[in-house]
Amino acid sequence: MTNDATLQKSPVRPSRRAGGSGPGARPARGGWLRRLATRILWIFVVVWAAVSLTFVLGRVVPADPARLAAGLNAGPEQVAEVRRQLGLDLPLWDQYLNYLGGILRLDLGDSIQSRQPVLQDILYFLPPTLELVFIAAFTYAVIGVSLGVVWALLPDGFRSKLINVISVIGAALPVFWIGLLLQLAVASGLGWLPVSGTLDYGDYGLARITGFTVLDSLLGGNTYALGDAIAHLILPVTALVVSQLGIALRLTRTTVSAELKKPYVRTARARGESEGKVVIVDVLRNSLAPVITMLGLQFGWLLGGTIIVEVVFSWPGLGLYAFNAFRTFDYNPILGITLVITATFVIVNELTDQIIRWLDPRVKELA
Amino acid sequence: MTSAALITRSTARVRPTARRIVGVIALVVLAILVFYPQLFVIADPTSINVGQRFLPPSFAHPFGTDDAGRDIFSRMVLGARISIGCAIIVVVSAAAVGTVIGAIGGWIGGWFDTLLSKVTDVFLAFPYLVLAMAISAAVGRDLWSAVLALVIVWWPSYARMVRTVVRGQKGELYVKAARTLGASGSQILRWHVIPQTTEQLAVRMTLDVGYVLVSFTGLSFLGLGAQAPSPEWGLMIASAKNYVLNAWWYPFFPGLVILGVVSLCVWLGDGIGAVKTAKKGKAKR
Repeated sequence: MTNDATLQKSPVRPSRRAGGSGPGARPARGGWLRRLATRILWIFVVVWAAVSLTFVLGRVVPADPARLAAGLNAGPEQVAEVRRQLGLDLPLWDQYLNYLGGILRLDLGDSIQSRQPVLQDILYFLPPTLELVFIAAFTYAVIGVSLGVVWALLPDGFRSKLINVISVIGAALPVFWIGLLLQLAVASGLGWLPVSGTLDYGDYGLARITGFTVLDSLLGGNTYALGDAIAHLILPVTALVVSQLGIALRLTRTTVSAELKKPYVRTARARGESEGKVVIVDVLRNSLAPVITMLGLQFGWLLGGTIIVEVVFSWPGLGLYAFNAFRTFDYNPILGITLVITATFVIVNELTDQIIRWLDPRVKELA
Repeated sequence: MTSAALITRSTARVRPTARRIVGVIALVVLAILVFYPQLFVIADPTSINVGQRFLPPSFAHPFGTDDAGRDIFSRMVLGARISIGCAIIVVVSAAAVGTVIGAIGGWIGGWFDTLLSKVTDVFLAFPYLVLAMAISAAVGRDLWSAVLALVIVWWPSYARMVRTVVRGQKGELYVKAARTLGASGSQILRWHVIPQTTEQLAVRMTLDVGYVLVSFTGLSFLGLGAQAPSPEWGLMIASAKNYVLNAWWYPFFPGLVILGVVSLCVWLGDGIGAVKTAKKGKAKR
């Protein structure tokens, strides 16, 4: 029983979605078109709020972007010139409206570092990050859910206790630490895995078509490149998956255990149905909604964790780009990244909601 | 409720088990670490001694020495105050903000409550770690901007929780009774309704200290929290990043200690939750 109390709250941000968030919690009247419209509006509201919050806090709190952009050796005139160029001499309200207007025109400003439009940079760095995140999310879901189900089925005893200890330790491992340990392990024993970086397109004469290394190797029909791309993915993905595995384990276990105690399971067993069928067809299907919701929320964590993992493994994606922007106070990339990642996260969560409604009609009735 | 039942409830004691004893001892040790770090410091953590660079763990340096020849153990002891202290500040502030907003919304109800819960929903829909990084980077890279950023992304779950409790209690008889006796809304909230949330809050806050610690050290690792030469744990691991292949102990021990503290929080949170469930069971009987 010890787990039950925390399990409902166990994901890193406990009960983020409990009770349903946003407009979706209301009954959907007026059919799917209206529902779709509310959902899209919701995505815009959340993204707008995230960007505005970062924008306002970044401008109100006294750090001087112009001073930073101009560099340490710049004189007062140069700083004033940079300030005028960046539009930082305008009233805050005008700056804010200009920025929002820019977003509507798909203009996220220029990066001080790369001297290129932020949108162009982001589009270049996004695919490797998405590749990492999606593969990690998939692996995380498969391993976390299956281990959680196994745990729920185990009788109380040593093995069950062991998994419990693993889940407590694995509830929130510092991802940067796991990353460094993995590098250490590979460097000292398993020398055949690359310690950092990603597939080098030049080595194989591949074209960068999608930016997803695995996909590009497949498109190029180069199996060696494919192997290399996968080898480079193993360590970062492992770090991301391991660091949060405990949470998936615990939530799946509670949900499945609760479901196993329900009368229909006893009935099904009494009917002589095989244990496998009972668990996989009946129990798992009925426990899907909370588990999928949890996975959707963990995706948000993965997006943040990826930034850290990319720094550890020098993975050339959005995370490394963000890291450089953080270090140099490059405001436009920081805002652009906030925008893109928030949008990705909200859209993924909307999709998980949709999947739940599709898999489990009861959710629709409840709404 | 009969007087007998009242007595059982008030004397429902928490019996000492191995888990609780270990938990209390660990907490006491941590508290001493945070308040009296000088008791544990075995070598001057600031003295730079190039001749002592990268010494492996030994009796003189249990966690080894770092790239500047400083004793890692002593630095970690001093860092406890920063890392754990900030995590606690974040959790307490987030819980305070969340409790106030949740309680006011749940109590007043109507359009005001709708507005507050919509705002809460928006915050809950953020990818919190990324937003914390962005805010912390935009505000300026120091300890307090990281703390601020984490409070901003952490309060909504508390608001949601407190609001649910307050809304549930609003119609209860004792609230009406208090009102009849002339208590004002804020008095009823402070004396009767908000105390109903303390047990849930205790579980949540204990767990959150662990989770915030991981996020906070993560921010520091990215250079967004504490700045060098602070002995903050995440920052120590960040500076160890480049030496991991020749000095394994440099990142290993700080990470191990973070892991230990986080696991302790999760474990204690579980424990408090279990006590709470047991008490409820007893009260019902």
